[in-house]
Parts: sequence; structure tokens; C-alpha cells
Amino acid sequence: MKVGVKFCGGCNPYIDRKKVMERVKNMLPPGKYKFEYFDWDDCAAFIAVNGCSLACVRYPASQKVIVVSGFEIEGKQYSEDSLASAVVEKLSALTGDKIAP
Amino acid sequence: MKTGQEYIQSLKKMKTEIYFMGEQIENILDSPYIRPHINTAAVTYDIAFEPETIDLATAVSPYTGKKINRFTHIQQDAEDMVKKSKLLRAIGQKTGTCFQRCVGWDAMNAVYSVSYEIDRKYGTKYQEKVIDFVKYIQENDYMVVGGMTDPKGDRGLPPHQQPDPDVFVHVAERRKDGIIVRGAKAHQTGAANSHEILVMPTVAMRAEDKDFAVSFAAPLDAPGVTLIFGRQTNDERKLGKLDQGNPTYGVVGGEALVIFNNVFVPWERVFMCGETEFAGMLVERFAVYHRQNYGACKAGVIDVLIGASAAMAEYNGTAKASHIRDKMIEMILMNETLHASSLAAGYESRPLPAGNYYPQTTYANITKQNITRSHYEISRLAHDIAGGLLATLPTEFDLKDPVLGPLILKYFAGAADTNTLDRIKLARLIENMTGGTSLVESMHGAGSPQAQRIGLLKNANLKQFKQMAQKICGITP
Repeated sequence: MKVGVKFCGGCNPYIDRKKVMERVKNMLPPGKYKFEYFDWDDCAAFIAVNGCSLACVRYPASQKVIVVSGFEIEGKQYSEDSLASAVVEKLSALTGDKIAP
Repeated sequence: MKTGQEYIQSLKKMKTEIYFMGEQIENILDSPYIRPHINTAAVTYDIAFEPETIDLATAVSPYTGKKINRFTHIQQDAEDMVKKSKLLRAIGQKTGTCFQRCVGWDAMNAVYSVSYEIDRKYGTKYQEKVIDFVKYIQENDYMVVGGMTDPKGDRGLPPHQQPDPDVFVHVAERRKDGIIVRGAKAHQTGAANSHEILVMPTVAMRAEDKDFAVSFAAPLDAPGVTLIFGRQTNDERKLGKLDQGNPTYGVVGGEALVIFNNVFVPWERVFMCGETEFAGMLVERFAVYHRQNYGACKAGVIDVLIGASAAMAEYNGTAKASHIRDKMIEMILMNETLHASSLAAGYESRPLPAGNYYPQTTYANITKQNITRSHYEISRLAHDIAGGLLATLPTEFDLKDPVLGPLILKYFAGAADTNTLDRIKLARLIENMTGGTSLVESMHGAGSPQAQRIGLLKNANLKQFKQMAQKICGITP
């Protein structure tokens, strides 16, 4: 399943964006999800990874999107350690795929 | 696209004639004076493969449809101009110094736009040739030097009146197959480790300056091209490690004087030849493109400096002092203002007649004007926070001495539970980032301060402002 990922420029990051996404990757079943960082056509979901609450990452309007903005995902606060499992949970809901976090 | 390693390997094939300290450098990869600048430029290649920066560091070529390194891209829209600013800041944060490659990028965009306008007036075919060159650079992922600044000789005289015409690059001979050029370009950032140079005129010109209104591209190892690498205040430090402060990436970009001694340039690589009325336009285009960058790359570099100052305050045991916190606020205020104006120049960019996007001129000028002040002021605050050891620390060689080393560590110790060697490393980083050669680039790169001030006044609508004031206070014009 193709999942688009786009990072912000990182001018003011409150979280380690790379580490969060590595954790997400490690929580997913191996081989089932393919993260795509450039070609975002026909993605099952799209993760916008912003380092701060400004959330400057632009994403295709047609996509099912999960927006990480610093410690926040869609208005809800998380600790840095729990961000990855929250992303996986959202991904599961968006794709209809049952992923055990 | 090339990786950093592939870029470094590609330099091995170059036969650039380069001199430093009275000797010819046969292999720049092994030169401790040049190697840090090569490492920094390599980051502009590697960053195009890292997941968190692929979107910023790559683009799709409008000519080939292929994914390319963004440093070879012709700006297609305002989003490209914003991404440029964010990319440069991201690389500045990784390297803490100048990574050189934006100069050639801006030069390609400037020449692309002006060649279109020359063609429109004279029916020439320059832009086709510029596009061929850009495609060649994109396909090979080459690094290009933007060759703007001539030595200029007597600044009060135009090029054609100079006692020695070679102080401006000029056409010495026109041939059926191309031109012979002579002269030099000074302060050429990244020239030692680039593949090509894209030469542009450096001042506005009049009809008599016809031979000096020339733009072309040439490989840096073309016959007749000679480089003399510039001296830096930290040269001796490069023979060690710790005292460099930033041993992997060095200080500023590594500049060279590039001399053209009767260099042949085929017509395929000539993008302006005698169209004097477009010389000033090309200078301004390049300068404005480049001025936007100074609130981007330098913002990233200053992020590192602010971080080093904050860490130093902790090592000194002064981090909680109110005046230190206030100084940190000042540094942040100035740096984010710099970046904000660079972003604004990108967000408000507009297409040129050629179709490529161009920064909002006033915001780009403000960005560059502010860096000529703010970088110095931020550096002053970094000195203030860090303390006098910046200027008085013993050398790394004394630190390695079995007797002196422990004494240095004893007497340069800081707050409890901090590592003295790390305190020394931080001090060296701040010292090297703020002293000697490192700041002058912020003053004169992309044009000296007065050039931006002229641009600001030229673009300000003072007549309109006066009418606003007159209307409010009831004056009938």
C-alpha cells in the first residue's frame, strides 16, 4: 500500500520528525506499506510531517491526510514518544487496514 | 542525480589549474584547505536523497520531465521560490557554513530570463542555448559557479576606459566558431570544486562597452582558465582539527580568483555578446535572486550559532541569567526576521517575461541589507555570551600535551557536570563562525550594502506616500 510522506523544511522543529517516521515504519507490518516521498499520485493515505504547529506542509487536496504538527495531530496533543502510535492508528482508520499498534 | 560521493568522484576527472600558497594543487580532494568546502557542497547532493528533504531538494525538469536536484532548476512558480528558501535554511543547519551551490543556480535563472528578452528585441537565439546548457547541467547534476564580480580596477571608470581592459571580462576576439575571452572574476565561491562557470557582466554598460557585455559558460578546466584560491584567516587551523571549530565543513565557501587568459568559448555557450543595454538588467536579476538567499542559508547558519551560544551559556553556568536570555531573544528576533523576509520574497514572487519566477525585489533587498547588519550583531551577541576564551584559548596541540593538556582542562572548566573539552569545542565553533573571513561574505555577497539601498529607494513609491500624508492632513496638491 502506497503512503505519501512529506516533511516540512524543519526551520523550527519541536519534534524529531525523522525519528517519528522511523517509529511509524517500524510499527507497520513489514513489506505491506511503501512510503513515497516524491510521487504522491494514487496514495492510500498521506502523512504531512511538520516540526511545529505552523504546519506549513502543503498536500494534495484529494488525499486522505494525517497532519502531524509538532506535538499535535489534528488538534490533539501527544508526547513525542506517542506520536508514532497515533499516526499508525490514524493510518489504520484512513485505509481501513487493521494494524495492531 | 548524483550522490555526494558521486559528486566528489566527478571532481577527480577535472583538470582545473588551481594555485594556493605558491603551489599548484594537483588533487583538490587531498588539500586540507579545499576539502571542507567540497564536503559542504556534497551535502547539496546527498540531501536530495534523504526522505525528509526530497521534496525540498528535488524538482521535475520542465525540459526533460525527469527528477532533478533543485540546485539545477529553473523556477516555475512561487512554491519553487519558497522551497528554495526553506532548502537553503535546512542545509545551513546541517553544515553551519556556505554550501556554495546557490550562486550558479541563481545565475542560470537570471541568464535564462534575460536571454529571452534579448532574443525578443534582436531575434537572436540565446535562450535556446541557455536551455541546452541548463539541460546539460541537469542531466549531469553539475555544480555551476555564478561568475559575476569582475576585479573592476578604477571604480570611477567604465569598462572601456580602464587602463587595463582585463579588469573586466571581455571579448578579445570574435571567430567563426566562437569567441576568445580575457579577464577575471573575483571572489568566486565554490569555483575550486565546481564543474562549470556561468559568466555574466558585473555592471550596467553603455554602447562603448560592447566587448564587455558578455555572458557565457565554460568548464573550469578549459584551457586558459586559472584559479588562485583565496586565503582565509583560519588557514593554519586546517592543518589540525579541533581549532577549526567546524572541521568537516569549514568556514564560508572557499573563494577563488578565476582568470580567463584567452579562453575559447564556442558560440553554443555564448548567451550575450555585445547587447550592452541588457547588462544592467542581468546584474540586477542575478543580484535579486541571490539576495533572497541570505535570509535562508544564513538563517540556517545562524541557527547553529544561536544553538552554540545557548549551549555555551549552559557550560558557563550563565544560561538562567536574565541578560543572557534577553540576548538569546535578540538573536532569535533578528534571525527569524531575516528568514521571514526571504520567505516573503518567495511567496510574493512573480513570473518574468521569460516565464520563470523572480523574487519580490524589495523584500529580497531588505533580506540582504539586514544580513549585512544582523549577522554582525548576532555574532557580537555570541561573543558576549560565550566569553573571552574565544580569543585566548590555547591551541589543540597544547591540549594534546601530557603535561599542559590536563592544566588547560583544569583552568578552562565551566559549570559543574559539564565537559571542558566540549566547552572548548563550542568556543572554537563560535570563534570560527564569527571571526575573520566568515562575516565578510554577509557584507559583500550578492552586492555590497549600498547596492540594496539604491534598489530600495528605486522601488519605493515615495510620490504615493506623500499623497497619502497630504490627504490625511488636508493639503491640496
